[in-house]
Amino acid sequence: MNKYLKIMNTSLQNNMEYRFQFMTTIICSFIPFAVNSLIWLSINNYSSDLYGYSLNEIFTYYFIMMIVNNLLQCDIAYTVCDDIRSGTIIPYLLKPLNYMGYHLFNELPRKVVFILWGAAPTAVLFLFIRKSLTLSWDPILLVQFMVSLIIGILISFLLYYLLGLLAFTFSQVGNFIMGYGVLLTIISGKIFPLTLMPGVVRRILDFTPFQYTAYVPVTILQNKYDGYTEVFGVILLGIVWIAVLYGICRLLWKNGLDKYSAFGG
Amino acid sequence: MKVINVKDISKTYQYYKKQEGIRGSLKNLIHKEILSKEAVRNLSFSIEKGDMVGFIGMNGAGKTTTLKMLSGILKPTSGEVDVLGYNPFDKKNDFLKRISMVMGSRSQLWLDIPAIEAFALNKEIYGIEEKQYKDTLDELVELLNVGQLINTQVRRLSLGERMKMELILSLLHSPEIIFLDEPTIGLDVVSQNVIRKMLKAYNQKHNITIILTSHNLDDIETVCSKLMIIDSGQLMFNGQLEDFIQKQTSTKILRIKCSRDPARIKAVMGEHRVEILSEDNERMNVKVSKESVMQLTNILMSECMNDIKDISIEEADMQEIICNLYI
Repeated sequence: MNKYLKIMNTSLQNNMEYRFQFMTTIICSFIPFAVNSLIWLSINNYSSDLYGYSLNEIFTYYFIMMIVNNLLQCDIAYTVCDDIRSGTIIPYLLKPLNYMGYHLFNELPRKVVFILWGAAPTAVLFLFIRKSLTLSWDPILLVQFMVSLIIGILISFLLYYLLGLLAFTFSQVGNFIMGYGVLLTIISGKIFPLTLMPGVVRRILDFTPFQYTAYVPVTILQNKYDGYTEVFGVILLGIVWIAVLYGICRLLWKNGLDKYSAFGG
Repeated sequence: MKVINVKDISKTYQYYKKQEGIRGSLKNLIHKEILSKEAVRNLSFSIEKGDMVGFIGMNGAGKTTTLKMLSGILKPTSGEVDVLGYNPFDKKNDFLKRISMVMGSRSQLWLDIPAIEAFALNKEIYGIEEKQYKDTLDELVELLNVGQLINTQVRRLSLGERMKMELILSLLHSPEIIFLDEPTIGLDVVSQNVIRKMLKAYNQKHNITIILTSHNLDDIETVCSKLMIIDSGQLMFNGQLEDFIQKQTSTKILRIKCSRDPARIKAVMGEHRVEILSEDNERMNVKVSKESVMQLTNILMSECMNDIKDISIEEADMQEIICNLYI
């Protein structure tokens, strides 16, 4: 068996030990969905102009967002930061193993477990509110969605991994990670669709990697992009961002190790 | 054959100075005074294949730093390191497959699943052949006598059992060199013994090179044949363990239990060249040269018979030798 497959296998077993935690995370993620939907419901009472979305489309936006969000969630920044600060990174450095690869394949099984434990509660929720959702089951759309989701997972991972690597330079990066988390909820489209942003900001955000961690997959599944060409362009930019972020991470890793003093132990 | 060759390596750490209290913290916000500390200074040595080297020194003497440079975790500030023909810091997979490191204070196991899963993972990471994996695992499990435990969730194992699992994990890929950083730290006497025996047996069978640091000198005495002593980043001694002990033990320790005031005993001893290591009203420890110890004992026995409750002649042990070395 390939070593990275084996890592996924082992991580899957490890993650399966935390059933309860996964269940509660998923059920708790219903709350922001409900809150956001209610806010828009009340906005709709005053103004029927919902920035190009119908009320049902807005509900759908947050419903898909909830699923995407659960799948993209990743604590890798704290893990990497702790590994570097406390020296727990050492065992990885001693193995014929790529540290980033290890963590990526360690992280992926969490998504599987999320799907496993999250499918039932999410399906129940879906059944209750399906009349208010406008979901299309077009297979082409689903394929595009899957591709964008994979890009999103990779970009989300790389961004958090990069933040974690900053621990080589700054001794405490917890604040960066938190600040990034707050900023991300806005600039990724988690709180509201990016189309609500003022024109200039919108155009800038269109070129950033952050949108891929929320807005892009949702918008693709909602078929809100202007035809295949635009979707293709968005996906291509995503792939470019993966390459760029990977390059930056490699650079930070190499520089970091040169200076690393591996405290403790 | 030399497997490790170190020439003139140094490692300098940088750190900040902070004065006491919040004032100091605020001051550091504006200007940080960067200081550097040489953890290792111009170290040179070489190690032969199959050697079992004890590497000792006080806390902060540079032991762990040296091991980290040998295993490629740290980049030396200057100097050359050659391990098995590689520069360790390049972290080439071929190199990493031939070495291993165990740290007593750091676990490589996954807490939530049994050790056997970590073994299986290492099998894939190191690309170990099925048969070799099985054979090595069986051998190590038997040497450490942990048969049933490899299927127990690591979280439920005792410290000693965990360390045995760490050892198995680090030896599965049959490394040629293993660095052990305080492998017996915090373990009970029985576990310590099992681990020492196992290391010795494994070395004899596979001719593996072992470099071991420990504050427990029994570890060094039972396992190692060579000794390196490091102090403030510099080597104080590098050679055979036996030579070291012999050189340092030209003296013996005379332990005397007194039945009453030791003034008379002291008077008698005053005529000989002795060094009183410690004394109170009931006990005296005296350092005497090897040649005169019998004579002195004889005199004491005949002249101060009534003052002495008990008397014994002992070899100075490693502990004392090392302590004396640093004073």
